[in-house]
Amino acid sequence: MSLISGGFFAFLALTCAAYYLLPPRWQDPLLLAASLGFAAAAGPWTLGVLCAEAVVTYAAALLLERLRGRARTAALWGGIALLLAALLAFKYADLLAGHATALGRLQALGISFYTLMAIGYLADVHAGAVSAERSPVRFALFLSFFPHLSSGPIGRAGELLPQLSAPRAFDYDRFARGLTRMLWGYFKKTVIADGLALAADPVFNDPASFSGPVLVLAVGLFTCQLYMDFSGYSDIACGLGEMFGITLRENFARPFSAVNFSGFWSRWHISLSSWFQDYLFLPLAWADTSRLSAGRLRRLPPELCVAVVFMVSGLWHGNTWPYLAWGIVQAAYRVGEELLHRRFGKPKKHPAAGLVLAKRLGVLALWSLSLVLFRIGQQPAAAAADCLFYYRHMLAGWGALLRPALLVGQLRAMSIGKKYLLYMGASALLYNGVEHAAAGAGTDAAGWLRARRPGARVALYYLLALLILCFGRLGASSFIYFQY
Amino acid sequence: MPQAVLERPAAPPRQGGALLRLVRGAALFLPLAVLVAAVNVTVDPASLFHRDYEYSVARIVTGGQNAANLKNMDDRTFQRDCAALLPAAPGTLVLGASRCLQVTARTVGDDTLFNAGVTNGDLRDMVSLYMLYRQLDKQPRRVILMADYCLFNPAKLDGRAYTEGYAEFARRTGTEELKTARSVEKWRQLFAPTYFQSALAYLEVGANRADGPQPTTDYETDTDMRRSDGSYSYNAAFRAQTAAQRMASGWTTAWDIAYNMGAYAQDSPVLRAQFELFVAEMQADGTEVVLLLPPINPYMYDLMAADPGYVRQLQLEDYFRAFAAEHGIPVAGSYDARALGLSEDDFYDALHCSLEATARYWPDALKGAPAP
Repeated sequence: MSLISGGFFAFLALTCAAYYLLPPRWQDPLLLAASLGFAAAAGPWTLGVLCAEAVVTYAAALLLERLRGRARTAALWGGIALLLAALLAFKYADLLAGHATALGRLQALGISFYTLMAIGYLADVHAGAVSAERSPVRFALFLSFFPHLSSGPIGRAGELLPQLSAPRAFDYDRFARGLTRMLWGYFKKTVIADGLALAADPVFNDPASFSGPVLVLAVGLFTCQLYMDFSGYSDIACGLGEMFGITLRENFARPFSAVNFSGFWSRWHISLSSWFQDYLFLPLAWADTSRLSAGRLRRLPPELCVAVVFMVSGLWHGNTWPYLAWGIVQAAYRVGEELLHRRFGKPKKHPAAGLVLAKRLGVLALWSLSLVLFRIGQQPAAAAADCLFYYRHMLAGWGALLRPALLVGQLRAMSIGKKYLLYMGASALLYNGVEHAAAGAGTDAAGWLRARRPGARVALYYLLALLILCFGRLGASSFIYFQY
Repeated sequence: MPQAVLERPAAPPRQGGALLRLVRGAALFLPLAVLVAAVNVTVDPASLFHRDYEYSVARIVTGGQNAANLKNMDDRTFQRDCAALLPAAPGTLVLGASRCLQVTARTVGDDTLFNAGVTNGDLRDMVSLYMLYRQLDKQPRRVILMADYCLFNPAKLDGRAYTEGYAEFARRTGTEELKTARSVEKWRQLFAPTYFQSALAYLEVGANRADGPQPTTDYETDTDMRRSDGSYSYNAAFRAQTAAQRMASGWTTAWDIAYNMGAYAQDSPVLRAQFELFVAEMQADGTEVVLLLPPINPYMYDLMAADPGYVRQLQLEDYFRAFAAEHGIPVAGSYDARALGLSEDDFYDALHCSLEATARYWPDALKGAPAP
C-alpha cells in the first residue's frame, strides 16, 4: 500500500479512530492487526516472511534467557543465521545466481529493515541489555509496526518495547504535531524529491545523450533528491508514530552540515549507521582474534573493521555490483580520513568559517560523486561499466557551456523549463526558510510550524497542501528506500 | 486541615475537548476539499461527470467524419454511444485495448470495419461490447479480437469497465463474474488529487472542452483524433518521437513494464475459461473470429523475456496460436515484432505499434470485407 494513496489515508483514518476509541488494552492488538494488514497489502510474501521472522526471533530470544554457555551462543547464532538466510534468499538470489530468478522476483517489503531490527533485538537479549519480551503480540508489533515496516527507522527494543508497554491516551498536541510532520514529509517527497527526479532521471537513463555539465548537474540533483526522498519518508514515518503516541528514532540531523565523513555518517540514516556501529563495528573491533592469528594479533585493525562495515552497508542497500562499489568508496573516504588525521593530526576544534565551508563542500562533493554508483545500482541489470561510462562522460562535452542553445535543449529534455524553475525555486525557498528558522529555534520543521500563530500556521499548511496538490507527483511515485 | 484535602487531584484529560479541537482543525481544511471537487467536476478531463462530450464525438464519428482536437474522454461511454448511433452493423468489429487502435478500415481493406478498442480494455469490455452490438441487432460478421496479456491477468481488470453484457454472459455460462465497481471509481475521482492534477494540466494547455471536437476528413492531424472507423490517430508530436527520444524520456524502465502490464506467473483460470467460451459463442453466432497478437517493441520484448514475472505473458502467444489452430481461427501479428520484420522505430512507445507498421504486418490473406 503506497503511503501516497487514498487507500492508505482511509486505512490510517480508520486505524486511528479505532485506536483511540477502543479500550487501551485493545490498542496493541489493533495496531498489530493494522500492521499485518499493511504488510499483507504489500503481498503475501511480505506477510509470510515477516511472520516467520517474528516467530523465529521471539522463540530464539526466550531460549536465550533460558540457556547457558555454548547452547546459549548456539541459540543466538542459530537465530541470526535463520534471519540472514531469509534476507539472502529474498534479496540476493539474483546476485548469487547471476541472473533473474523466480525467488528474486518475490517481493518481501521492508525485509532489510525488520531483519536488522530482529538481529539487534537478539543481540541485545544475549548481552542482557533488554529482557526477552514475553507478550507475543507486543513483540510482533515491535517488529511490524507499520510506520517503520517498509523503510525504517530501524528501531531498538530498548526504546520501543517500553513505549508499547505503556498506556497511550489521545494527546491532541502530539497528534497534531505528527500530522504536521507528515505534511512536511509529503511536501519534501512529492514536490521536491520527485520534482528533482523528474529532471535527474532522463540523464541517468541515457547519459550518452547529455553533455558533461548536465551530467554533473544531474548528480547534484540526485544528491538532493535522495536526501529529500528518504528524509521525507522518515518525517512521514515519525509523524505516523507520533499520531499513535510512539516515538521513533530520528534518521537525519542536517547531514550536509558535516565537515568530515565521520560526522556525516552520524547525521545520515542514523538508525542504520548506529545499528552498524553497535552490532557490527564494535563486535568486530573488540573481537579477540588471538586464537585465529596464533597470538600475533589480538584485535582487528579499526580500518579493516570500518572497511567491512561499509562494504556490508553497500550490499545491504542493494543487490547489484555498483552498490558494493559504493560501499567500498564510502570505506575509502572514511579510512582515508582517519589516515589523514593520523598523518597530519586532528583538525582544530574551532576552524575559520571559510575552512568549515570548504570542508562541507568537500564532503558534499565526494558524497555526490559516490552517489553515481548508488543511482545506477538501482537499475536491475546495473554493471560497473555503466558507472564508469557515466564518470567518463562527466568529463566530456564541456564545450556545451559555450553553446547555450544546446544546453537549453538538454535542460528541456530534463523537463527544466520556466514553470519547473518557478515552482521548484519557490519550494526550495520555502524548505530552506522553514528548516533554517527551525534550526535557529532549536526544533524541527514540524515543531516550528506548530509554534506559529494560528493564522500564519494555517496559511503555511495551506501553502504546503496546495504545493503538494498542484505540483506533487501523486500516484506514480515510490520511495527510493522501499526497494531495500 | 490536612494538606491532602487542599490539593485537588488533577482533572482527567477531556477526551471530548480534544475531539472537538480535532474536528475544528479538520474543518479548516474543508475549503481545500471543496476546491478539489469543484475543479474536478468543472474541468473533468476524463469526462467522468459530463456525458455530452463522448456523445458529440460519437456523432461525428458515426456520421462518417473523423473527430479531431480530441481531449481525454471515457472510451467506454464513447463506444456505447457509437454502438447505438452506427446506422448499420459493422462488417468487421475490432475488440481490444489501445494496442489494437491502429487497425483501420484501410489496413484491413474493409470499409465496413469499426474499431471498438478501449483504453486498457479487458476481456469484460470485449464481451460487453460484443453483447451490446448483438442486443442492438448490429452483430458483426467478423470480429478481430485482440489477444494478449490483458486478457488473463486478474490484477489488471479496469475499474472503468462497463460490465452489463459480461455479467449476463458469466451468468449464462455458469462462470464467475469478476467485478469492479465503475460507479465507485467515478465518485472516488471527485476528491482525487491525481484527477485534480490532470484537470490543472488541461487548464494549463487550454485543453478544456470549450474547443470541442472538430469534424475533419483529414486522415491524420496535429491533434489526437478518432477516425470514422473508430481507430485512433495520436497527435503529431507523439507520432514523431524517435526511438532515442523515447529512450531519453525513460519509458523503457522496469517500472514502466510493471505499470503497464503487471507481472504475473499464472493465468486466471476464470478469465481463460471465459475467453474460450466467448470465442465459442461468437462462432456459434456465425461470426468469423480473427485473433490479433499485437506486437511489442523489441526492446521491451527483450526486457520481458529476461524477467520471470513477464515470461508467461510472452508464452501466451503459443497458447493463442494453438487455440486458434484447434478452432480454425486465423491469426494476425505476433508479440515478437522482429518476427514480423519490425524494429524499435516502428513503435510509438513500448507497446503501441505505429499505423504504418500495422499496415505492413497485416496479412494479405486477412484483407478485404468478410464474406456476407
